[in-house]
Parts: sequence; C-alpha cells; structure tokens
Amino acid sequence: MTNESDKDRFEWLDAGRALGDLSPQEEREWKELSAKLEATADPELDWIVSSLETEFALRNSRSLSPALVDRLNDDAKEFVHEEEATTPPGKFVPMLSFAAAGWLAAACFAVLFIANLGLNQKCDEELTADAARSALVERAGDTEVTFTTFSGTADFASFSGDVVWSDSDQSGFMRLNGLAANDPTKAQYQLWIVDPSRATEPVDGGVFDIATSEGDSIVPIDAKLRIQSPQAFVITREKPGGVVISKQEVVVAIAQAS
Amino acid sequence: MREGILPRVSRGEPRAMNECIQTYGGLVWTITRRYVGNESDAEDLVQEIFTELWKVADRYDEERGTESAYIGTMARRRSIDWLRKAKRHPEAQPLLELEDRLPHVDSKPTKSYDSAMVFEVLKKFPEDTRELFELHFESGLTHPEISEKTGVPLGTVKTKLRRGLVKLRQEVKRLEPGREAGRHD
Repeated sequence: MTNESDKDRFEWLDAGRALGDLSPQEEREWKELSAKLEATADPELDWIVSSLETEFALRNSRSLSPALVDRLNDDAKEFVHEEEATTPPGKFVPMLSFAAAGWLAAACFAVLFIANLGLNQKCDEELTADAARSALVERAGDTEVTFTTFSGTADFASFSGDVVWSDSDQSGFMRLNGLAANDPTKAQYQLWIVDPSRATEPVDGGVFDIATSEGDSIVPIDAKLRIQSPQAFVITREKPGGVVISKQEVVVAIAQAS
Repeated sequence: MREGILPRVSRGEPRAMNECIQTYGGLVWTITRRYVGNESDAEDLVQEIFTELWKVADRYDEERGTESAYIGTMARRRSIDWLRKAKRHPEAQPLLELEDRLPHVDSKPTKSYDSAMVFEVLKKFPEDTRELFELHFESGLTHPEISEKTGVPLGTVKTKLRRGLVKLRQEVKRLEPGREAGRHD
C-alpha cells in the first residue's frame, strides 16, 4: 500500500473512530497505521462530531426532572462562594411622587451647578428608568410585550404595582407602591418569572431593595435566563443576596400574565 | 455584551450555578440519555458532569467556542467514559481502548467550531446522507439500528457517515481557512 493510500485509509478509519463505530479489526488497523504513519487521532473530527451532537441535543433538548435539579443545586452549594452570595445587587431605582419628582429635578439641576458628578449620574439613571418604563408601557398592545398588575398576598394587602416585560428586548420594569422598606442586611426582595417554556423552576428576575414605602419605586427586571413566554411574576422576600430556588416562605405578590 | 454563565460559575456566584443548570441541564441530560439507557444511571452521570463543570469552569475560554459547545463536549466525553467503565456498550469499546492515542479531553482546534455553522453545512448535504446523520445524532440510533430502520446495508451506513464526516471537516475548513489543530490545556 502506498503512503498516500495509507493516509487515506487512516483518515477513513479515524472518521470511524470519531463516530465510535470501529470494529475490533478496524481498531487494530488504526493502531498499526497510526504507528506506521506516526499519526494521531484528529481532534478536528472529534470536534465536528461533538458539535453535531451538541447542536442536535440543543434542538431536541429534554428537561431535567425537578428532583434532579434539586440534587444539582445541592451539589453546587459546595462551590458557591459565600462572599458572593451575600453581595446585594442593589438595582432598585425609586420613582418618586410628583412632588418628590419635582424636588428630584431641582436637585438634578442644582447638581449641574455644584458639579457633583456622582449624584448627577444617579439622577439621570432614575429618570432614565422611568422614561424607559413609560416607553415600554406604551408598547403594551404588542403581542411580545406583557403588562399586568400585581396582587399583594394577605400580609401585603396594601401593596400595589404592575410589571411590564418585553420578550424581544429581554427587559422590563416593575412599578411598586406600598411595599415596606427592607433592611438589606436582614432580608431582600426577589422577583421570579414563571416561564414553563423556558425552565421548570421560576427564573430569577433579580434581587432588589425598597428604601421607602412612600411613592412608587421603579425596579428594572434582571432576568437571569432568556424569557420566552412569561406566565406570571412573583415577588418573594428572601435572605440577603437572594436564593437560587425560593421556598416561597414569604410571597409578597403575584402578577398573572393573561 | 452580557457576561457568560461559566465565568460567573467559576467565581462561585450562587445564582450563576442555578442559571447554568437551567440553561444547560437539558443539553447535558439529552446527550447523556443517548449513551446511558438507565434513567437512574443517567441522573447520576449528569450530577458527575455538573460537579466537574463547577470545578473546571475557569478553563472555559469564550474566544475558543461557545459555552454550549464546551459543555456538550464535556457531556459527550464523560458519557463515553461512563460506557467504558460500565462495559455495557461493546461497540464503544474499540473507540475507548484507543484512549491513550486520542486527543486530550480538553483538546480542540485553536478556535472551536461554531456548532451551528457545522449544522448549517450538514443541511446542504444530500438528503440520504443527512438522514443518516439525523438518525445517529438526533434519534440516537446505532449504526445497526439505522440499517434496520432504513434498509440500507450496514456497510453503506458506515461508509456514508464516515465520508460525510470527512466532507464536513473539509467544508468547515473551507469556510474557516487558516484553522489549525491545537490543544486546550
């Protein structure tokens, strides 16, 4: 056999190796040719097989059972760094009443004169969040935009609010009113997004704090997974830093998507 | 651009762990089930794969491939390892006995294939060849099972799949010239 035909034959066998279909006789031949040609397995073939397997699996992905998800989350605890677990994201952005908003605008204006850049940025962020929410609410008639209202549970009957979410933008906001201020060192609020098409467990929508129960607060949603079809939004109260899976010991409010 | 999941997993961020399970659990489970028939064994293996993932997440390099490709490859290799240990799959044995000559588990081209791109190339293949790939990778059929289902002789099934794989490599290289094999240690 010529060297070229040996190479062709080795390539042929190596493709079988990558596919996992070598017979014992072919395996022996692969080894002999490998030694003769000083050739090794081609990682390119392995990676194409792996790419195909991954792509087909992604297209036909089957869900994990809730029990297995629980086991995996238990295993993961060993690898969680506690200092990260207790770092509050602190992403809430309060929206103030009209009177307070006037004060805020004045404060922002004054900031320009005193050149307090840090405060100026905060004002911009607050006003931007309010404007972004308003823009999203205006699109509430679109099929890909969900807009619904929260119902407080028995212990949070005075709470009211709404939520707007865009599937295409993968962003949204909650507007919350009458929710008790929390001490972030003791407890934090956490949003959950129920999307059965995406995950068996509710998706973490972000941890947030409420500084004051007065007026409205605008809270950006920080979904940790891509949301495709939200069915409900649930606010719970959790330990500082939030939790991976909520035991729903303190459910604050629920908003059902229509 | 939003940071990927694995870098946050490597830092031990608690919510990243659950996000990783929710995002890639189905991928790992689907691949594992292709190799492991027993559901309970498959669940144990999925736990082993994720435990390894928590440990080696810091090795992931986003410049060299997607997270799903990295995790999918890990799931495939660990499933094959499981078969070797279980000795329940004679057909896999020849492959696995070659392990000392196989690429290292983390070996891969210097720039990983875009698995979606490989899939697009496959879609341009003749229908009969494409169907064999689908039966093997999508339905999880062995080559004898494919032969039985399609009526195509076993030798022809092997031939078309092997030729198809080599052709795929050529086409992908043509689309991404300059690719060189390397190691990812």
